[in-house]
Amino acid sequence: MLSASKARRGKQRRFNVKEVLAETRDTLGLMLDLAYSTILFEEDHFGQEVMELEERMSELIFTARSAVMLGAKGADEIAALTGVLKIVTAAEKIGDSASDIAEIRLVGIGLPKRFIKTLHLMEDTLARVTLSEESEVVGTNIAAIESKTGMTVVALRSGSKWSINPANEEILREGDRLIVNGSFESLEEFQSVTTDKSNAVPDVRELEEPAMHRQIRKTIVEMKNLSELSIDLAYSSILFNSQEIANEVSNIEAKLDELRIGLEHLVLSYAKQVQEVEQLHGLLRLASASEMISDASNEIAEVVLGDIELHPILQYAMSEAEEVITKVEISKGSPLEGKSFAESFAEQETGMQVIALKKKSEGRWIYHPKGDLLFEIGDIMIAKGRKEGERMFLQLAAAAE
Amino acid sequence: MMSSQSKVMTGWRVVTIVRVMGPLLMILAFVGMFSGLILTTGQDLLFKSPALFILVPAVVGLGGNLGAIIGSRVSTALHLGIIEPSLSNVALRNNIISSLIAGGVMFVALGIIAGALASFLALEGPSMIEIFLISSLSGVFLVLFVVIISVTAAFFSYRRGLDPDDVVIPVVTSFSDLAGIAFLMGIVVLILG
Repeated sequence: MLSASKARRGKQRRFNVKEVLAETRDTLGLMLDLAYSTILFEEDHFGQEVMELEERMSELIFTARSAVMLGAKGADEIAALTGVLKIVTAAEKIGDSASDIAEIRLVGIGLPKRFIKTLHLMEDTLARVTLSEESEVVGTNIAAIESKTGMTVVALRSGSKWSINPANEEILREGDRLIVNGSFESLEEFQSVTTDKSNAVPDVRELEEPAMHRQIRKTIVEMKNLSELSIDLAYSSILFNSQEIANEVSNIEAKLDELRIGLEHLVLSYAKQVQEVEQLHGLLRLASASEMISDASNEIAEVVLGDIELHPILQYAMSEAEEVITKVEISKGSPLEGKSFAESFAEQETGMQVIALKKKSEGRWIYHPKGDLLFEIGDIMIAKGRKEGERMFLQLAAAAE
Repeated sequence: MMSSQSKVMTGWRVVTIVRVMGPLLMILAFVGMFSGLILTTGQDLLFKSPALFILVPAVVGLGGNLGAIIGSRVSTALHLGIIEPSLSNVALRNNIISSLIAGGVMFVALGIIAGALASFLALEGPSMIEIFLISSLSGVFLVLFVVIISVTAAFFSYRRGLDPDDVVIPVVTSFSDLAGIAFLMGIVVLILG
């Protein structure tokens, strides 16, 4: 999830539906990043930030509903606007889930330590680094590190205070701590650039863990990945007015329901074997939050699948958010053709994350394509990232000039 | 039993309606009287050419209605975010241009119909061509005025969060009426005077 710069707006002025929806989307992205950062990096400060953003979300939701009611005239428009109201409610639920996740730490439950170390299995990765003296980014600024590594800086700590969503011009110094978000593939590049030894991601094989613990961990990670994917696909389904993508969101929701049931059984069984039962509690809460997120995403998708036409304001709002979502078909002449995903460095070069790919030959969607997947002409990709990355990405895929 | 203290229900009490809407409506009625005054200054011309009476309510009415519709639509679009309250906004410019064209076409049509009607009823007054010209020319100026005032009123009501039905429509229609009479009489004097 990408961070938002409009998350804090003190000035009071009249807001319209489009602006509010765009800001809602950006705020939700930031809330989720910070919520996961709270539990994964054990930082209460981020949790408090999430609670403040939750208040902001309440304001936004209220404003969105007011603006819709002020703008509702004529039977056809009203029908489409009911869809907008449903989406506003779904956004509210996602915000609630983010608060629930942050609360896992804030109420003192937390997560098992061993789980915290396995960040590298998450698709939408969060990493915390301290910049060492040798790091080549010391002396450059936020914008530079973002474009170089393809990761986004969620928070910066210079001295004693954390700065959420720092400005592009902020200069980086030795000893600064950063929380970044981006694709898992970009993480390696990022770590080599910042040369932070202390947070080296351990190899999964090195972890000694009982089989049940491993199973729990993998399930939880898959649930987190799928829940975030469901949000991205839900937004995509609106942006591209695609029933096909909306159906994928429903599929994910069904899968997450299954996973949750499985996870709860696993945790209950495991609890019989271990002493530190309280730690498993956090996992149950995380699973519950992931499921709630995909339920909310499904509600958004249902608006696309419903009989009523999508109100155009939804698409305008989606395009106005800071994080862009783009859909592109790989065309003849593209440098990606014939290369594998890993070879192409598509994500690292552009800073975009490919969240789904539909192979022309197979006709079904593959989520978070991995290393050895080959790109072919006619493959369709959905990717998300910053605006600057979008252009590069499109050039890469469509061989545009 | 509904609480008489409830903020929402208070809007419907007679005293409240009079107090809230009264001042505005009185001012607008005053504006309406100005329209009447303009008519009286041109009364000789009007009585010599009764055919013009066909045009007066029609032109004025069309102007006012156009203003109300534009004002209402622009308000809605502002609340939804389809239009931004800034002149550089493309969607707004397109809306303004289409309104101008649509309005212009309607006044031309009005001119043709009024001219035909006057001729058919053999009313005394200007020729078919003259009626057509009066309607079209005054229409052009009127549409321009109406679009400006209705868009402005819509921006104002949006920024203040006012219900457009309460403010935009009465204000726009009253001033459009005034402008309608003024432009119509002006063009009449120009062409016939």
